[in-house]
Amino acid sequence: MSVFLARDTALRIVHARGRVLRLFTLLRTLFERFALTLLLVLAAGLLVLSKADLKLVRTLEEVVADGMAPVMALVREPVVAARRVAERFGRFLAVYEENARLREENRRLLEWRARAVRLEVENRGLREMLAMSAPEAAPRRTVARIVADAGGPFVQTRLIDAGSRRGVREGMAVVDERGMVGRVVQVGEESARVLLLTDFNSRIPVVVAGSRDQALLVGDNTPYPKLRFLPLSPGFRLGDRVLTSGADGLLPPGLPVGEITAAGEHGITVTLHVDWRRLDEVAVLDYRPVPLPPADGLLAGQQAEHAGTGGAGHELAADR
Amino acid sequence: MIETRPRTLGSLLRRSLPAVTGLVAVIADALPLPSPAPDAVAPFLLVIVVFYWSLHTPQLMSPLVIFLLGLLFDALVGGPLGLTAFALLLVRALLGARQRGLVAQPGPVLWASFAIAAAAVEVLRWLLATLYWLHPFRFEPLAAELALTVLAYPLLAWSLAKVRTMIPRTRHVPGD
Repeated sequence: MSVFLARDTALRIVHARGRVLRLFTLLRTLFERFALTLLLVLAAGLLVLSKADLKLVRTLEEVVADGMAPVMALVREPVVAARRVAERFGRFLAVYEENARLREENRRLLEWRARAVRLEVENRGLREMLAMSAPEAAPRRTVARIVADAGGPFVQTRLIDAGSRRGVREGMAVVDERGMVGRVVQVGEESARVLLLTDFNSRIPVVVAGSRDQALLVGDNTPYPKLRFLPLSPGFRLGDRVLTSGADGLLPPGLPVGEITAAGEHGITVTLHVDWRRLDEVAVLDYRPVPLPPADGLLAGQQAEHAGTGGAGHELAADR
Repeated sequence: MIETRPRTLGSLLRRSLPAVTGLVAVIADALPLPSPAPDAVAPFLLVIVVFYWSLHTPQLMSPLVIFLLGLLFDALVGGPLGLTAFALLLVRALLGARQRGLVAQPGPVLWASFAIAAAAVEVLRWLLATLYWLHPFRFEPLAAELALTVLAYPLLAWSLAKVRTMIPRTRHVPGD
């Protein structure tokens, strides 16, 4: 009896397995036949989901970027090394001119250093006289390598090999040795995406050093972003330096950005300080702005003020 | 068409060469190259690789592989996910029926066909990007990228032909 039962069960298993296999083959054939259409629909669906800025899509992008960042970092090394060798060779050929240029630059820097020391002493003295608090400490810098380049005509971003594990957060400013490059817009664990100042989505509050005109630096996918929303009668001149104003409370104020090089019907053009040719490594600035007073405290203060002056206010209203 | 199953690991690896060259193209496309400006353009190598294998060994450059390569490219360069995959798959769909007739054509005809396919990819990407961001992107950088890509085709196609000699031939069933 038990032998028959076992045989029966075995036969059932074989049949079931056969059915599963047939179903699998059918599904596979169907997929192979309609794969192209299915995947086209899936790609279009992903585009729509991407537009909706779903967390799932962002996470997928971050995971892929995190996975690829070490590979890209490894692959870029020989490329960077080859370029540096070529640069060194070029410099070797122009060593005399380079030496003269460096001597001249050194002389100018020494003059600037003397001036900076004098101004620092003067500044400290003035701060003491006015009982001002000490200036903010310089933001912490996280150095990262650029591992991927968007290139192309649509987005101007760079992928760097430092993410949340190294303290990088969204909104942080990214600089090279000359000035601001962009800011962090997406952060994975091991990588982050930097939106360049030239990208058409980039907008940062800036100030013109000479005239103190406040404006917005707007990227337009060309190498030269434009100044927008200037005061009605701006006082800037060509050649004036443009710095971050820190008006958004996110970027550190005073970061060098570029200089005004043209003003015409196409807008006020800024040439950035960034050296695109040597943009291999950047620093991410961990700037923590002075915290705003807590909202509760502010309300409590206002209420106390109202309580103190409330009677007078009511009286005034009654007089009117 | 029925193809023989790969029997050894070596054969399997060799049959995955088209996908591997696609991966190499994605990495090369995303590699930060020294450029004088942030908007500098370079040849779009992925479209060359996808076109070449779709033409010569379409069974080894399946729509799924194209989709994954497109997604990887978009995720690496920070474009909207699906944009490149959609453009590449649509070109594959357009190529589908003409593949057998095209593959026997001489080199210059293939080059011209590639130029048309690459132009279709670029126009489609431009159209999708414009709709996605609702921003009128300039077409000049895209035209420059297209010109560089078309110029790069013969050299890359020649290199890929060398790679193709390493791939085991598939057996065709008569009458298929």
